[in-house]
Amino acid sequence: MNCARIKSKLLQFCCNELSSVEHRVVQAHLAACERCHRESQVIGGLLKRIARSFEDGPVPTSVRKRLSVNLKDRDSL
Amino acid sequence: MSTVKASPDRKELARLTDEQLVELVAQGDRDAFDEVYERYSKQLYNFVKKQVQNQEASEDITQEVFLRLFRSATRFDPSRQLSSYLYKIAVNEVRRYYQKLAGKPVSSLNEPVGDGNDGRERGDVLAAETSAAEPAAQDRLTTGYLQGLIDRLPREQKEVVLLKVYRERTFEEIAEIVDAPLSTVLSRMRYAIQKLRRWMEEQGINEDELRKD
Repeated sequence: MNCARIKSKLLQFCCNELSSVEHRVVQAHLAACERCHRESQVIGGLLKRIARSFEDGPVPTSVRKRLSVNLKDRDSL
Repeated sequence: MSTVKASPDRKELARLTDEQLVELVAQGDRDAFDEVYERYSKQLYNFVKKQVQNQEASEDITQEVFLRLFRSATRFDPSRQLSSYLYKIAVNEVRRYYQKLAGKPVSSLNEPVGDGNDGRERGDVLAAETSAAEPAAQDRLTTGYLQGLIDRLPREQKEVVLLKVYRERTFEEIAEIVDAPLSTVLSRMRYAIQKLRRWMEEQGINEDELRKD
């Protein structure tokens, strides 16, 4: 595969979503191509940074309370 | 044929698969419904909140997702993943929320600015406007900074980024959730990454920073 073709696969490569055959092809190209290797590191690094930037907060108790009320109302119909 | 014992206790419920739980929910089992809520409410609520950025709307939408599950449990296809099914409902509810908002005067981050000829969108301008107040490049890749950039992405791109990076769904699952071809999902993700990189570059962040873990 040429660089353009490899670049089109980098996102799935970084997310580990290529078939094992395609993964090995991309990996072999990256070992030999500094520019594509750098590109994969930038995409992978960005995805990791974004992932680390997300935090889950608690669900307000009011959601469950309102849900219970709505389900009870439904039962009483 | 059902393999689930009727009226299991809480400990037994915790050991059931999602599909077994939905089967019980379809029979009106409230404890099974509570178990589904325990498993998914936090991730769904936070997913919704990151999109609508409004506490009240996030609560309403989360509640609606579970109500819809309760109403539709009898029609749930057990060959599908429950989590994808719930995210699909959430995505549709968020879209419905934005459709309602569309009737109100809100500014979209994707609308063109100026005469619209230079291709700039409001999100680009906001990204540029914040740059002056930003700290040194190395300190900028903080949670708040990255979240701020993600919030400026076009809604469909942000939706895919959240499902991929935040909720760790595969691209194929995302395609099912957002009801779009896989190629479209991949394009949205690539455009999102391009935009984020461009905005960072405009704010003086060297891409080498991203390569450091």
